[in-house]
Amino acid sequence: MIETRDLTVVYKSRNSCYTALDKITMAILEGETCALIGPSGCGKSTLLKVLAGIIREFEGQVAIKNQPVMPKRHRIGFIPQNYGLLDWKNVYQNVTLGLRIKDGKKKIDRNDIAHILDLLGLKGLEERYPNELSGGQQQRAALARAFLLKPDLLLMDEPFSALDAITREEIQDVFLYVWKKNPVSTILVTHHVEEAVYLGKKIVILSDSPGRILKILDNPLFGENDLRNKEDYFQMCLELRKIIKEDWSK
Amino acid sequence: MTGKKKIVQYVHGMVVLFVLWYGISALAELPVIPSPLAVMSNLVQIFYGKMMVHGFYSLWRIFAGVFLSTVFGMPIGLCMGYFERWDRILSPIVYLIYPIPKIALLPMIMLLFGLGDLSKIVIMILIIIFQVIVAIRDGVKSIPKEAYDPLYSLGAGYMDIFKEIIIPASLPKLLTSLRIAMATAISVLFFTETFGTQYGMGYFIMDAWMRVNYLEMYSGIVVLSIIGLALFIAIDILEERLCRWHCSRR
Repeated sequence: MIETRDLTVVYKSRNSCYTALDKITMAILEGETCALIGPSGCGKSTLLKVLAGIIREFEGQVAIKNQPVMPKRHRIGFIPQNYGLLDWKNVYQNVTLGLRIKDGKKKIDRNDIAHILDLLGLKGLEERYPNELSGGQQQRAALARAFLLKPDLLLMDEPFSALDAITREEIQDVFLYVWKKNPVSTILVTHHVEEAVYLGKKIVILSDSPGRILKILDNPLFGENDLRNKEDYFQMCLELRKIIKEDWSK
Repeated sequence: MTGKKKIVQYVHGMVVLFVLWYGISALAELPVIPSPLAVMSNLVQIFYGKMMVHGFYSLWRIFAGVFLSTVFGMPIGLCMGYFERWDRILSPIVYLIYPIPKIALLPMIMLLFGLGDLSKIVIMILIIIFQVIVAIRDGVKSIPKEAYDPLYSLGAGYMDIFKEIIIPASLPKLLTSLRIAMATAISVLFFTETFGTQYGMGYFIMDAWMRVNYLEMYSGIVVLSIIGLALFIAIDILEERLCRWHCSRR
């Protein structure tokens, strides 16, 4: 389980304080996906960075499997907005980066890697560098790196927002496909309502800054086949939009 | 660019240079500007017997100077780029020493390190190392902060961060700084080789001048230039090997 209790983050500069997150309390069950949706600048990325152990100055509690977050102890896969691939490493080196750091070079299982690369359609691109890949391919490489790690927690910061609409849908499907085979606890930040309904078993709506939790919804539709063409899906999206519009316009 | 294309371009440049030189020598008709043909035939005659040993001495000194500048300068630059505190403490010192005309310190260096190779290499290091330090520091500083996030969330230590991010990301900057430093290194070398040695291209050229043997003097200048060119090409090859990601972007 991933839990936050009264999580508050305040950015301090020389003569001002800025509250990015205000008393966030939420819990995600093992093997569950959670979509965080909120307006720009509401602290969504901050929340992810706290969960990733990148931001360490906060009040309240954050725990993964009942232990305070610690990147050295936990296996955390973090995919930032720009995918976080290192320009100077080719696809193979980028994909195995997490394993190399976490487990050392020797423990890398070539079959695992081949399997993941195959699953994400990256076969034959191992020697390419990120700047020789399309946006979709870069995203696939970032997903491969995260899934190969078999993380306790997978964090994705607006992972598909830079892709064109068609590629985005395609990669969302790829993500779901791989996720169903390796169901890791996942939190993804998004500002697309459709994406939240499509990928989040749980949907957390945040308010405008300072980020507070407005509502936590369970999404009964999550994981259904061919969801995008179903009436319920549109209904759910509409409902969500309504909640959001009411609150964000206050 | 392919190797073949490059060679064609170099040959083209050389032909233009020689035609210019030939034109000037034909117009001036002075012994101090001999024709390139005479110089080349003289070069072929004396190269193996007389000159090669001087060439090797110069090459070794430049190589030692550049290599040691990198060995000492790179770690300092890397740490200054990554650790705020190192930068705060060392930057003023580097900036204060950088503009001092180090060549003016040659008498002091010669007293301290003797008349041999050591003082020549030390003065070269003193001149090149600051370019290396500043270029690498700026290279590290220009790495976007987000690049570190996936590694931090993996619990990577300093070793991992230096190995996976900082060193590979700053390598192209190092090679550029060496390219710029190389031209300075050659002029400095020439100057230092006019004192306290019987070997080196600097000595050879000055000696030929004293003997009013202009053909030999020009032969020496040609060889010194070729040494410089060879070092430039060596750096290009190194860049293609080590920074393929960087080359493929251009």
